[in-house]
Amino acid sequence: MSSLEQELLARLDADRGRSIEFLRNLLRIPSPNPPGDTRAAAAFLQSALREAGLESEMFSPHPEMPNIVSRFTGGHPGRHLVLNGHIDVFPVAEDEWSKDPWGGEIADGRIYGRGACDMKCGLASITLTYLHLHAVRDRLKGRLTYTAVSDEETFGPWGARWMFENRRDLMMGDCLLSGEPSSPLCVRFGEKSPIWIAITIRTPGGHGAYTHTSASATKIAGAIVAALEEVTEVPVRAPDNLVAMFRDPGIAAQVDEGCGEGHAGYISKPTLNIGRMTGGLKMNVLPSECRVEADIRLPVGMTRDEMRPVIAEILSRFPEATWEELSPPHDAPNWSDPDGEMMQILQDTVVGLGRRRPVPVITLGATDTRLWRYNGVPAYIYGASPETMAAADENVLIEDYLHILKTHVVAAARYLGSV
Amino acid sequence: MTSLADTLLAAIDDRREDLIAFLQGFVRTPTANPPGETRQGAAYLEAFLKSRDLTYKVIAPMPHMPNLLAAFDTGRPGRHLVLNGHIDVFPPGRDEMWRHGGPWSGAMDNGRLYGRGTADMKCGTIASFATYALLHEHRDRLAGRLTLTAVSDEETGGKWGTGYLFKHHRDEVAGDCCLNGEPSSAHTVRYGEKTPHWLIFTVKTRGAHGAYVHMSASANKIATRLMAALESLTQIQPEMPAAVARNLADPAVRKALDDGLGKGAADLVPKVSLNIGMIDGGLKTNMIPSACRLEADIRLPVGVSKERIREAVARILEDFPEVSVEEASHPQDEANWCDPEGAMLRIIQDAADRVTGLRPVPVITLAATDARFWRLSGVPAYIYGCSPDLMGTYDESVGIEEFLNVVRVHALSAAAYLAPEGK
Repeated sequence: MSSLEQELLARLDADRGRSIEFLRNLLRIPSPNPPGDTRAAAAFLQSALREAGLESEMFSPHPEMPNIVSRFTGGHPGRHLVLNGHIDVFPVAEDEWSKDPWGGEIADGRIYGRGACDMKCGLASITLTYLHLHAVRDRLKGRLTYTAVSDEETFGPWGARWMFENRRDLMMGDCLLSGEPSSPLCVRFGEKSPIWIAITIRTPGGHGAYTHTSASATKIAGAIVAALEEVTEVPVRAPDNLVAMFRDPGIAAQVDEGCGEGHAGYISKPTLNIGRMTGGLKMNVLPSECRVEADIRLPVGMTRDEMRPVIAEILSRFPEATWEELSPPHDAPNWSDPDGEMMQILQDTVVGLGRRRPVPVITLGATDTRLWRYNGVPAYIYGASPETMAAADENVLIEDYLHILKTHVVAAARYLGSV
Repeated sequence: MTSLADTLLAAIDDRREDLIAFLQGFVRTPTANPPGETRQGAAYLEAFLKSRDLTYKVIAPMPHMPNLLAAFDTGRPGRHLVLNGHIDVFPPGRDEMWRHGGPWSGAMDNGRLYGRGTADMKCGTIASFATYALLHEHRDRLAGRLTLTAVSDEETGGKWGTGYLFKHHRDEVAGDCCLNGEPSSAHTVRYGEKTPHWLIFTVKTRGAHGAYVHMSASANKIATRLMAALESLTQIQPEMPAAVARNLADPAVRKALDDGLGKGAADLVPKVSLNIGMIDGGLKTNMIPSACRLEADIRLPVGVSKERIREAVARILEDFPEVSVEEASHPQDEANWCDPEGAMLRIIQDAADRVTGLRPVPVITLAATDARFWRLSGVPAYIYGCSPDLMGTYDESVGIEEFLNVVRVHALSAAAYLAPEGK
């Protein structure tokens, strides 16, 4: 550790209580998406920057979904690192929670709340990283850009996508560091790509006792859900270096330990989730409409054009069904160099902080980091355990959060370099 | 001396305009259920009884849902016939959707009388009242006893209506036979009905991010597997009583069912049917759903008891530890029937044949009515009424001549059932 890094770690130790409160306060501001209104949480972040004397710009192409960008230049020329996080979180089924999803409660060494892992922990961490590095900017080289965006959870058009389409100049840099969930045991350097489809089944409908008078939209939906499982059998041809990496039993074991038993096995396979299924009006009415929303994930090595005809063929067996794609049509599985510099910095930093060396992993989910990768900017993710992501009682270990914050601060400082 | 049947038919012809006005005034009295406030409707019927010096009781366990009970005894030994109709009707829906001046207009157009409840079942209830009054006038030519019941709370299950009368006034209302004017169409007499068995299934899993399929089972996928497994219920073989089996095999009956309820209805009557009326699972495309709700409308035919279906469902659920179930229908109800070759059935067929020229065939139907309270108590109950085709729609109506025919058939049938021995 350099003397600057040690000084930063000392500051973080002194600030421990404030760092915890910062995350708890962020969790107390609801920002579920849908509906995706993040104004209150964005105002909270902007005021934290302002208190530190930092200007920020807000871009609100959708009035309820602001994006914040701030940047500073170090005292010496150098590389440009970009930090990224998203403000919106998953929605909540209140009755399934034992804790207040918007309470920021602490219990058993954990902080609870929707977004605690995905990704207000990471967002709080990159925000504080930005503030701490700003405090020592005179000794840093290069530039640091802070981006906090909205509309990530639905891959909507108003967040990072809008920024890249309209203010690419503000988003670009030499490297991207994100605080999305990865597990402290893993660094994510690539991701699968989602194809989201909405299927609508329409039938004449009728009275619920008169099942002979019409096909049932809900029963057809059930048959479609069963048939769609075939997409998980589509063969995939992944790059050989990645295939070798995930066959390494040591790496696979650590991936499973960090991201859940079975994660490693799904990295190179397509998966199918039926996220929503709604149909019918009333128990005793034969339903005339049912909607199914499917979330299919393509592994690295598979293109959308390979998967689309498979979906089309399956659904062609059901003449009552129509379908459309909900996800951005040009996304693809993407990855940065698994041996890249930031990967090594993150791994070394974590070891330097006394934890196990994280292994490189491709995430099953998709994040905004893909947009940097599409633009040729290497992008890496280091963040909380995904264990409770999107589930009830979402939480992060306090010690993990503080460790992630330290890792971000040290890795960012090391990447930029100091004099 | 003119036969009683001829006398009754002549009286109905004489009072034709009064009978139409009686029905029209009843249709103009709103009695939607829910909410189930039927006091005005009951008062309208009470006024009719009072004007003819007919005594009656008001039995109102719920103040806003009165039931009327009237009876006379001929003084001669004989059978006890009970007439039954309900006062409450379906909710009207949106007023502006009605094409004939709103749900309570009672408008007449092109030989039809329009309004909510005209078919289900103000036509039939008025037929019961007219029959009761006519037979009372001629009680000296009858034997036995005639009871009239008009109830509220039929559309929402009958707990405060016929169900209450059976619980607290059973001796007065059970009788030896029940005649009911619910819609049946002129082509059929209804002698039995399937019973709804409504189940709400809840699937609960942990839930997770949609990409992390290794983290949680999917409530939606489990629900679709459950849907597929529940289809096995439709293969359950009923223990069909011989008389019902004979009836269901009769080509004339099969034709009447297919003509009246759509092709395939005759095959469906003796089978368990399964409708998945509602499914609702998940919050968002990219989340593994932690909950899914499935509402199943299962209809049990005669010969399949609720107990049997409960056992079959419990066996299916052994493979679904994430699923819980609750019943939403009345646990005591069962599919029910009475003799499709019984005396009253032939009486109704003869009367209908004489009045309309059509001999209605006995059928089991898919809809539930209060007639089940009699049948489940071992008392035969038959339904003869107008066409059900427009019930519950924004064009609900009854043909005026069709209504008068229902009055005629009820009056003749009741008189024949109560005819003194040897007549």
